[in-house]
Amino acid sequence: MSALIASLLPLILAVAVLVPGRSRQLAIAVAPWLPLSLLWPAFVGGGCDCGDLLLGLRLGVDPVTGPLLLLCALAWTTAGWFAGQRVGEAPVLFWGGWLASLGGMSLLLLARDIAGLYIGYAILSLASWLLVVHAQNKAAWRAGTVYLIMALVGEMAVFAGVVAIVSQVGNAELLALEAPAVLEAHWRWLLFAGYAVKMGMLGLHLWLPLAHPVAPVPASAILSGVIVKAGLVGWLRLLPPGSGMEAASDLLIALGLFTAFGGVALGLAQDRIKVVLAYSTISQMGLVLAAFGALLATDQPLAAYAWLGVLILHHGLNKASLFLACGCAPGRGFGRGVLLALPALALSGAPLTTGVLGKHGLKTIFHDAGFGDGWILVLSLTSTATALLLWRFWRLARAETSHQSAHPAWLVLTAAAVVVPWVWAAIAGLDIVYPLTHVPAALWPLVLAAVLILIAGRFPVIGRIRVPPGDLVVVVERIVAAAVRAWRRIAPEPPDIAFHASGRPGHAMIRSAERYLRAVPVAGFLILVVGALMWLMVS
Amino acid sequence: MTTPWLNQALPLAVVLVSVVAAVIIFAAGEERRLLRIVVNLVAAGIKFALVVWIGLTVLAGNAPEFRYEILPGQELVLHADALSILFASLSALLWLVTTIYAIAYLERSPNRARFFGFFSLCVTSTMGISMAGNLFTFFLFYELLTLTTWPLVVHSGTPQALAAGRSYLRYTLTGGVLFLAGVLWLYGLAGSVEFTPGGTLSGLGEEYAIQLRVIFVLLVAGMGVKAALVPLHGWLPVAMVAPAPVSALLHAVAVVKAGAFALIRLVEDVYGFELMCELGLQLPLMLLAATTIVFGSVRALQQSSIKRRLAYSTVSQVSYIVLGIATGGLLATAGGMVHLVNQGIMKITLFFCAGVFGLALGVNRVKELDGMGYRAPWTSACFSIAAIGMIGVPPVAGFVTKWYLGSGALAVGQPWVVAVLITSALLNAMYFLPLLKRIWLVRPAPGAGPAEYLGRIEHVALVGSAVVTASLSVAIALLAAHRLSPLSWVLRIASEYFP
Repeated sequence: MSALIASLLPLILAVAVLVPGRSRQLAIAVAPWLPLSLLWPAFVGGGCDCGDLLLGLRLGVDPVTGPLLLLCALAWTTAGWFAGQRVGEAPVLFWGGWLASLGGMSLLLLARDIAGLYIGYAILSLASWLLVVHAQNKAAWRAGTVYLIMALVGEMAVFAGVVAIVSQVGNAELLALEAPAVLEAHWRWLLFAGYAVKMGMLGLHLWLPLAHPVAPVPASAILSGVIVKAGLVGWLRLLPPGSGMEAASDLLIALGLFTAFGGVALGLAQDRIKVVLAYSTISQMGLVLAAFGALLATDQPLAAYAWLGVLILHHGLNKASLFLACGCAPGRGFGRGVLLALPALALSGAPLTTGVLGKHGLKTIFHDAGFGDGWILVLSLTSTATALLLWRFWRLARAETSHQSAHPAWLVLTAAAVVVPWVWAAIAGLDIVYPLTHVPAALWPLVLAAVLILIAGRFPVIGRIRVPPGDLVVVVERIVAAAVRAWRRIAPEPPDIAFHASGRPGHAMIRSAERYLRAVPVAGFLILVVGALMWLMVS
Repeated sequence: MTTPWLNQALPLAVVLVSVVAAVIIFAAGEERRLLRIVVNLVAAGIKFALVVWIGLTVLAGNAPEFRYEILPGQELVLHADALSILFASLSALLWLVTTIYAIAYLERSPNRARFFGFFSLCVTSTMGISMAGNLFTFFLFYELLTLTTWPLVVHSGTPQALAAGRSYLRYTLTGGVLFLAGVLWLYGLAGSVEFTPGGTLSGLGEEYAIQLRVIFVLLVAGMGVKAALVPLHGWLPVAMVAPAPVSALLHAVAVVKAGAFALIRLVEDVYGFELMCELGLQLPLMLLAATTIVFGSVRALQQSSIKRRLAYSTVSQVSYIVLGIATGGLLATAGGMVHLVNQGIMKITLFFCAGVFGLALGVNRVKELDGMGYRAPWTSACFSIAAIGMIGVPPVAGFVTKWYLGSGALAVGQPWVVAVLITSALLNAMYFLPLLKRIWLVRPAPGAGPAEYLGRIEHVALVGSAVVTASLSVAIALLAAHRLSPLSWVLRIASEYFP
């Protein structure tokens, strides 16, 4: 029951926002605090077999979605608190998108049947578009178009994989890290790629760096902090060990590490703070992908997943906090500098921060999967890369000295980011003493980063390399524009009334063919010809 | 629940109710407006109640049937089975809603008696088609449908309407000739062809295989005109000159769905799926449906008139039904059959809204939709719900169809169907999403005011009809797993053919 309410209430309120008057005011007032309702099923462990709804809806909480529910509740609520007082323009568009995204995410996290998972993901993807285009200026429309196209294509790929599973097992129940069905390679990769779009894997990441700067600050916070992880939920639910994906675990790790380093490289060439943070998200999700790959290779996936949960919690809270910082003039004063530094250091994996917890978890997963010290070294180097990127972010952020006030939500979220991952890891029974005490392992990547920064300082030309946000998007846009121009030349819009003979030369190919076909004698003859061909083909 | 007499009378009653209504309406004349409204609504209500009654009877296991020897050796058979109830209930419900809509819509037009008279006769034909128990009866009512819908298409009397009517007749009468040729040939081979699950023709020997194939082609061509299969779809976009209630009815309930229903009966109850596959006719039919799906969507992209865009969308979407039937297997057949209902309800919503845009706001082209969300919010909301349903986004009806068609195709080993579904969904997104953006996220042009209605009742009737159908399209998806949902009914039907 609790799960049903928690998943349906945001969607009901999203509809309420559309009705002007008291209904809208009430919905907008309640909206920031709604994600806390996700804690209710998480603590109660409530499930629901609502077999009459949708295609046989089942809801519940299990170890896979536990950390994500906590992350969603904390990050989405604090961001909503921030938004409630900071977002004034186009409230219907913003809150409609906010609530609908929350509804989709809640359904996705709480669903225990395949249809529920797919439906939640579809609602989430489309509702996020409303948040991306909120500013309704040229940059926002462009980002929205790129986002929508990629989201739709990704969702179609997910659909293909999902129906492949459903054709084998129907609308089966999803269990923790147990594959619902074994899939052939092409369906697996389609499913993987569809979710990879959301995760921002390099190659499919083009929408992320465009969407983050144009969305309002709290929307960027939840986009990076929570929404991108919906892709991971898809992988964990539909492609866990047993689905056939474990054969590709090495390739996934390679893709993940490529994304981790590539994201940093592209991010270093940016000069807007939100874009830098977007590339940092891409890079960190690359690490998550690598961890997923390693998880596939272990024989105790649930134990490995416990650490992955900590990593996700750590990244989500810290990244959301950094985004909220972007809206609070982080360059003014010492206090704001501290609040900015804490998550940045944490994400870099500095000693005594939640970062060491995350890094240790990552290394444990790899170690348990049987990967040797070489890989562990590479993982430590990703800390160096992240530290470089966040140093760049720090420099740019400290230059933001506008008159914006600091919102208390930023403080609360940062505090949560410092404390909650430790508490969660302790409750989950993971070893938190080792990462706390082994300082040198955490320190040397940062020292290396510092050295690299000093060296780079000697070659100013490195600091002047710039890549447009979205990198390959610019190339793709040019190709698409050329294709559209070519299409418009060969198939212009037809006039409506087909009966006026138009003497214009250069009729559209299809249109003139159809006009010809409309003459009945031709149609009749064609039917007979087609029929005869069919007969010949089959006899 | 039923006596033998009632068993016979019920199917006949369902068909005759609107004949009585039509006679009264024609006799009453143009001036008796209130009488006409009452007769319309009462007849629609009675019809719906009768269909529900028959539905309960069928659920209880009975099979109401009416037989009458109309020619020596040839019987008129009206027979209610689960499949007929599916189509009949859809028609009866949507006729009720369309009647309310049409009464309000045509308040400003002349010749309403003529319109509603033929409107009632049109639904008679649809009921006859749904209840037909053999191919001969089916053919009678099918051609009656052509003749009763022509006056509706040319209702406004303008040169364009008359030209559209001529085109409509050319197509449908030609189709009727081909249909008749197929029926007569088949009757020559196999005697009276009653609709039986799995078909009655498998007893014919190998030497008839070529003839059976040619007959199949003739019948598909004849039925395919109404079902708007490519290249026989040309009449549909042109028939958009008809008033909005006619477009709504034609595209959601009567003509196009009758064509699709005919193809369902052909594949499942005349030939049987097994025989169709043995004759090698499955793949051509699937390819034809797939071609229509993609072609319709591509043409829809190029239209700047709202109604023509919706017309091509219909061309594309109705072939989902044919594709599902041709693919076979429980899931795909169910997906095809449930799309009869889903597409009907979503499309009728879209046409109701397009009608309101045209009538109360003078908006007929896509580029005039800017800011419609401010000018007609409820109508725009209904339009948006139905549009995202057509794309296949949950939780609106269209996604249920996609789910079953996709998984059904993979379950029988036809993965390319999934590619067709995906392509079509993306094309649907390409021609519906820009409309939604214009409606909600663009400011109206200066001087573009809110919708103007003749009165409060007209306003409520027009917009309320759209709200009812839009809500239904969400409800049938939200409650799809419920045992009374269209999906459950369709799964029951399909499991008779594919146990």
